[in-house]
Amino acid sequence: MKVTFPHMGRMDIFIKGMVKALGMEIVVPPTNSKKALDLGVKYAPEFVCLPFKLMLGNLIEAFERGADTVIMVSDRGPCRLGLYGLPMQIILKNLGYKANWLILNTPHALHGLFQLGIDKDVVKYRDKLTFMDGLLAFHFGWKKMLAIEEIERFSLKIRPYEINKRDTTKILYQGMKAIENADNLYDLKKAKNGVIKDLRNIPQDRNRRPLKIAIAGEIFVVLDSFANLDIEKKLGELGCEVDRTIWFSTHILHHLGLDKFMRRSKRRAIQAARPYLKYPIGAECNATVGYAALYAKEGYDGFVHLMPFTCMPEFVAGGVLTRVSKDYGIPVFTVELEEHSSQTHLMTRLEAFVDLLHRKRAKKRVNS
Amino acid sequence: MDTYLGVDVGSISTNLAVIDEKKKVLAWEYLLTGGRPIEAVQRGLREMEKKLAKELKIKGVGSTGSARHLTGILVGADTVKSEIIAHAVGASQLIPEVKTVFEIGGQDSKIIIVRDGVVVDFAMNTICAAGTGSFLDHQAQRLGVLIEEFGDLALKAEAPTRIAGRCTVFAESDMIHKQQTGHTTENIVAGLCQALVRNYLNNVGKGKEILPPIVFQGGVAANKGMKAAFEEELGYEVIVPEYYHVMGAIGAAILAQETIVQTKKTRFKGFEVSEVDYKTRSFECTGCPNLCEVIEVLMDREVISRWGDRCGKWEVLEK
Repeated sequence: MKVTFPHMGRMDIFIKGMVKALGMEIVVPPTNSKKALDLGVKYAPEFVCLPFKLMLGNLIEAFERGADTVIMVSDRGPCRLGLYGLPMQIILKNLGYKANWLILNTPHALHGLFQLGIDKDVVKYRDKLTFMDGLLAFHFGWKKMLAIEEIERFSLKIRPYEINKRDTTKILYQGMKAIENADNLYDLKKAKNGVIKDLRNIPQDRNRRPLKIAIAGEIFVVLDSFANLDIEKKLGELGCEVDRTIWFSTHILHHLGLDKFMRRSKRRAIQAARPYLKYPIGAECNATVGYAALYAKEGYDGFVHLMPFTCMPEFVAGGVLTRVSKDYGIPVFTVELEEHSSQTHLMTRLEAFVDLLHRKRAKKRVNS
Repeated sequence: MDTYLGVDVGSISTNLAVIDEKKKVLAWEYLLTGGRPIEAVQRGLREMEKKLAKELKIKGVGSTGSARHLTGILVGADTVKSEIIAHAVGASQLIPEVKTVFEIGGQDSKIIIVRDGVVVDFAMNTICAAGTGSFLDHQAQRLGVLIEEFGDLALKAEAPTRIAGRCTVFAESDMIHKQQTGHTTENIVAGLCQALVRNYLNNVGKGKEILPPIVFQGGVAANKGMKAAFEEELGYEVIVPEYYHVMGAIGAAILAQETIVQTKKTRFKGFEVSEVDYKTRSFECTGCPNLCEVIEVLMDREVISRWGDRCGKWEVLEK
């Protein structure tokens, strides 16, 4: 049995870390790239959203590398992600790939786990591994995930100050590799601290006063740097300090109900959206609207809203955001992403948006 | 006399403008890019040099438009800004109290919302090109009407034909159908202008607060039928400035002037660059499955700049 899964941001780090500790065999699809996207676009329905196309491409690439069991995330609610698994199953079956599916949605998950349970290969593992092994593996994967997120967060703070363009990104990539390769908790900690130190030592101009920009929107395109055309790095290199509202860990914590005391939790964002949306639209819609209000109150200069083209919940959020933008005086910039999105087009609009924010800030300073 | 040069290299046209210290336009140049931005810029510079008096000194240069980075390297620009800002700056120079700028070019269209001289919001067409000049161009060909005569013809219409304007292809089949049922060419031409205006306001202008004074610029502003259609739809006067087709270049020149106040010294390489041998070439990087198309700019066979890669491997030149 060779398990695979579609990518979502750096979720692979978590799964790889966990599996490494368990000694199981998995096939990690190559990271999202033009090839994965091309494969997805070729076999997916045309008007389905970008995440579906990328995930489908991932799975095809994984099957070509010998995977035979798919673990697929799922959700209930109006976001199409909840239904991804079924059409994907049909498309891949028609392409001639045979695979076991484990779709992680409550009733189905139990069914799937049962199916996996009777699989001989799993029995083999089950006899060898104890519950404690599983717990430790989870803990290791989780720690890896947190380490990656910590260096990513830190890089966002350093990038607008870097003197030599791309310094931060280069060290970040090296750091991610180092963390990925760590075999135990001790190495992991050493790797992480090393990256933080390297990032801190990048030549910086601390006299700059970067604009502060928050990024929110649909979870997949916010987390995945390929899907969002590296928007965080682009903004950082244009001299903006970016804060990302969604991380893999915060998403999990929210779903487990453990984000009660976090300052910028999804829970708080949903509450902040109450004046505009009185009932849940689904997916990240309410949170997106709420985050705009929360960050505006914190004095952020701008708000970037990412969504896949044809995404229903985020489309609703986009409409409501024009009101939030007016009420709180925070400029909002919505980016619709699809396979035709071009880097140059995005860059033109980003440059204009950053310019707009600079001029707005300069004017505020003159007036006060 | 000190002057400033603005260069706007777009998909269809390349525009240059020279302004003096008081931001008055001294000379302008409008030529077709024809898919060769480097040649267009060099040709433009040559023409511009002929037009300018010898005692004029270029004190700063700004570049804008979709080829702004390439142009910036070519001429040694002091400021490289996106066309959205350049157009807004150009428009507010002309009409300081401007609140809305419509810019419709060959392949893209934008709306810029300005309040108290500052850009507060903007939008560009992203998914579809139906709301742009190429739509009219295409239909004019189909009707056998010269695009230059399009506007005057539209003004002669008595009862503009209603044409579906969502998509260029559907508009075309709708238009042919209307032709077959006996609508006059004048009415159809006016109908096309209205379809474009509706499309523009519903797509690019969606959710934007459109307030007068409104400035309408870009190549399509030459079309009087479009101005009339906008005025009818909005109920406000729409101003088409004298230099409507080179507003981006004027804006870039003004931005250059602003930059020079701070940096003092220009990086302008002089009009001689029109004689330098510039070339571009591209290759596909095979370092990872992204297969980025990397562009190299060569000056006298030496690579002076690279871009197009996602990871930055090529962008930074080894010195």
